[in-house]
Amino acid sequence: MTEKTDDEETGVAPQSSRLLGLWRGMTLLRESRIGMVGLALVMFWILLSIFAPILPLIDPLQQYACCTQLGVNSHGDGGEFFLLGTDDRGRDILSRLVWGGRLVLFWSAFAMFVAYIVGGSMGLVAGYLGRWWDGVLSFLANVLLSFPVMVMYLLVITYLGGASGANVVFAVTFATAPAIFRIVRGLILDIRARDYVFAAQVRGEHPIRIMLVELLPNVRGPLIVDMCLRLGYTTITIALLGYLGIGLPPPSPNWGTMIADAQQFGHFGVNAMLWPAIAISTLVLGLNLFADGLREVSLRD
Amino acid sequence: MTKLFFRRLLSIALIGLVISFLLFLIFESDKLEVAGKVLGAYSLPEQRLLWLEQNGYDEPFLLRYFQWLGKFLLGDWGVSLQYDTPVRPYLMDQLKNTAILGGLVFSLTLVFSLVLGVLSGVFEGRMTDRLVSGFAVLTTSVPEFASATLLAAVFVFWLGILPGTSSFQDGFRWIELVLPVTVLVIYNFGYYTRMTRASMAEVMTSQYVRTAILKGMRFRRVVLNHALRNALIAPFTVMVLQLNYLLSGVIVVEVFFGYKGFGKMLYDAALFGDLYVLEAATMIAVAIAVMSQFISDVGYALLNPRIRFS
Repeated sequence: MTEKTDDEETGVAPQSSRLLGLWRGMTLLRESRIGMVGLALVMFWILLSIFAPILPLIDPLQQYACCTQLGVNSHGDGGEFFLLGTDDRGRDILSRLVWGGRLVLFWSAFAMFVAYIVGGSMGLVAGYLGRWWDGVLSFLANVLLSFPVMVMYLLVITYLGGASGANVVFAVTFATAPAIFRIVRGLILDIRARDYVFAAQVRGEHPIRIMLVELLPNVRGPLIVDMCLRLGYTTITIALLGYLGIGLPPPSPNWGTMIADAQQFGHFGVNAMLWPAIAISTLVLGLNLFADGLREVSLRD
Repeated sequence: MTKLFFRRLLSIALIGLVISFLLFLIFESDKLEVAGKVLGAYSLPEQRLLWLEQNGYDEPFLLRYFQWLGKFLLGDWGVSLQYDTPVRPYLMDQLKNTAILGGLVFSLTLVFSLVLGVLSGVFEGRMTDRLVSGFAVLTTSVPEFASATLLAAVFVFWLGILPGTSSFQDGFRWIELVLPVTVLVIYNFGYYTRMTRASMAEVMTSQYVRTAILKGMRFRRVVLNHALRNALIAPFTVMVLQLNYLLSGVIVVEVFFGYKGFGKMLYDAALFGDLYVLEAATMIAVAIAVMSQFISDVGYALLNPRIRFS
């Protein structure tokens, strides 16, 4: 869907009014205090991730021989100051936390995006075309949904070629696309009998165009809320796979891997495992609150 | 009603069949890899071929699938490559441990979420509701491995009152169950509570509840006798369906606390490549998931008079 066709279609116009609409949406959200708290938490992590390369952080992979005692607030030999301490290999926890967040956020957003494209297009086709399309796709989704999620992850990653970014995305898509499919299909079924869809059919529009231009934009509200929640789940998944040692490969910092690494040191590892746990919790909490705020605001008008 | 029952049963059986075929496809379509797994990485190609021939792997794929399925249904699950014991007694042992954990978690979650959900649903918008809802959002946002970390940091390393692992090295001790159960209850109860709350709040605004209140019936009675039964239908189905997700959480928590259960076994088998344990464990996991779907569907129909009498 290009900019131009969309404008022709809706009759409302150009870029400026759309920006204005976005702004109006944001001001609406300000009415929900919970949503604002969520937005702040999410923005905190997003901004940290974006600016990680230019922040004055110590190299997350640099190992300082002096500081492998997992201490808090320690100083390095060369005058480095480790605000949150170091891990068992003498790497700066604060820096690993920020870079780890960047990694987790990037991969979970990417995985969710792929899952949405797959599940969403399946849902559009099944919901709009119906008949045997719907039968086949729904059965496929039911089969995939019957797999316990973790079992699916373990199988996909250990059997289809080990831990790598691509496999993680693949596994997440397999596990979440069926759920997205169900949501999109349900929403499309709800609106496919509307007059404007019928009008488009009479105009002789191509089914693909009807799906993308007439149907999809009209179900975007609930989907945006779902995306926020799902981004939270995906974030948990990415970190969790890292914790289980079947996620993104080391040495790149990852919140889950950081917890797993520190856990084996028991009492001494507490500081190193506490921070990533707090990080993932605040990010997911932010996403959940943001989604709640969005839902609250969208229900109001 | 019976028609619905059998239709669901048929569809569930079909799904189970398709999944078992998919699993077989993943695990055993590459015969040489199977032989390599069984005989070890250093076995010679001739040995592998001989083993394949001796164990009937030269049959056509479909025939092998049905033989495998038949053997699985009859309880012949092969021998663990990692521990060199028959899979079935080993797996049943682990499953029993997980049943203890899962049963405790499920019943505790049920009690907490029903009580809190009904309370906040009945008093929608008041202080109780806000507190409960806020708490529910907070706890569902903390994934199992993070809350396990936080709780372990406080109760194991700081206060030192709970054990940090639950591997039952000195026999079974209740205290080792505390942390795994708490972690799972905390993560799961939020979602159930929100479901119960939404359902209860909806029922409380319905006509017949308003009528009951207006005709002067005691509020307590209205809630307990009239509203509750209808409000619990939706949460019931969701809770049973969520068994699927509970299983995922169980894997994480068992790995975290070294609890010797089904989830840890599945995880270890996947990492080790313990083929026959993995096959049996995934089949069991899928069977549980599919059965819970069936129970949820049929239970919904049984509980909901509108469907029951139609």
